[in-house]
Amino acid sequence: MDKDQITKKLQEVIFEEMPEIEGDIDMHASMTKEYGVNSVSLIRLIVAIEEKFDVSFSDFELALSDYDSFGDLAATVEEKLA
Amino acid sequence: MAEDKKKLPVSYPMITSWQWHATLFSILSDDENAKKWIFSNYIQLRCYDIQEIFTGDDMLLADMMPGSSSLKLCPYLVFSLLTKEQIESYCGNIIDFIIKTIDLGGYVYGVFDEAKILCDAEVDYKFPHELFIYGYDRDKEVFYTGDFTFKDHYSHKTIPFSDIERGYEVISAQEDHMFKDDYKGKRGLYVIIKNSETPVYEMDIELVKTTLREYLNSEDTKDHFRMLRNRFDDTVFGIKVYDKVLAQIDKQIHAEEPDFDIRALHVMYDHKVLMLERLKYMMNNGFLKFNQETLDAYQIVVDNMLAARNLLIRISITNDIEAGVRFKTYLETAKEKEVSILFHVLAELEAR
Repeated sequence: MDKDQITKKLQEVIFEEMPEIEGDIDMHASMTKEYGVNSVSLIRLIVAIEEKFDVSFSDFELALSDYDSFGDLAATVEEKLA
Repeated sequence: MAEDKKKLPVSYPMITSWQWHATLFSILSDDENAKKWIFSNYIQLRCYDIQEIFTGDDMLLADMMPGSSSLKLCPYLVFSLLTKEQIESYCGNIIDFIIKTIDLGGYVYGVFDEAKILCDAEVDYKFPHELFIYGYDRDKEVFYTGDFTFKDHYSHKTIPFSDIERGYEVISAQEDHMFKDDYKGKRGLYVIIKNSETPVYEMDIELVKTTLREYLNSEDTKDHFRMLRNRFDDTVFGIKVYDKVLAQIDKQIHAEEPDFDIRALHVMYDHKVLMLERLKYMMNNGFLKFNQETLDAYQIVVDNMLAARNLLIRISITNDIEAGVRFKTYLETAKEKEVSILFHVLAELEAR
């Protein structure tokens, strides 16, 4: 799966898990400020990512401070799939 | 002349944990004078079993000392209580009272029915909770507030004047769990004024040493304050809080109807965040020798507590109760490292 495919699939997961998000997703925007992501919603999103991408995040990779944007999450998924 | 809108200064609090901490840190986190008081305190941890005020469910209440008294005890806050009768006599109604208080530089804090605030429809239950009010906008008829109830974490939100009025009116004196501690049988609000321009409290290394020792030895810090309250035989202090919280998490996730209350773990995580900031502060201000290894080692304590808290959130989503075996590793790693680091810190402070 290349980077664009990962981004597209991740955006589908984001729309499923965060239906309040409308329109295009800016992968570089601040997750917290622009999209209101918090510790709980991030972990909910990561649990869905684990299922959809068949990857696993350790308990140390669930910290909100580790991800500024959805792009950071995409990069982490890309590393896990490499 | 009254202003159209005003917001008193607030910052996102360094720690949140409980509403009283979030409120104090919203007002004082960035204040250099207040840091000396903050870092001299909030060292001892304690916990005890209570029943939830509204549901009656068992819960383990963990907190840093000073707990909910911090708003009254902090020398950089002027904390006043006003009864409902005083508020109505002085201002006629609560809306004008809050606006006038903010105009005079006072933050407002009190118990409101947040069910009325959060739900558009009429509901037949109440959810009394503390609310922090720091601003208003007359044109939009809203107050600027901070609370945990709006989202899954501490956040700021505007609330219409009418909801604040409704949320205040429906709470009886008996349901005002905070005010009744101070003034039994009365309903009221608190006014908090920041008063930190003049330094009145230096970093208290003697207090840091005493409380660190009590924390590490799980000693009863409350025993010093028996003149204020003397009903706490069931309280666990210091390092033993790790064991108590671990046992509580195990019990709650293995219950017939599992409970995923993260509050005790979150308090412990905030305690570690603040301890790391304290170590940095003491190193940067000459109370401890700068030692990056100590800071890196303590960061591992913080990371393990965050992993434990996040694991509980993950289990609440996946229902994978078996993953709970990992709590023991995270809490024991954090405990072992923290004890080792803080004994060294205490020894260095005692050798000064």
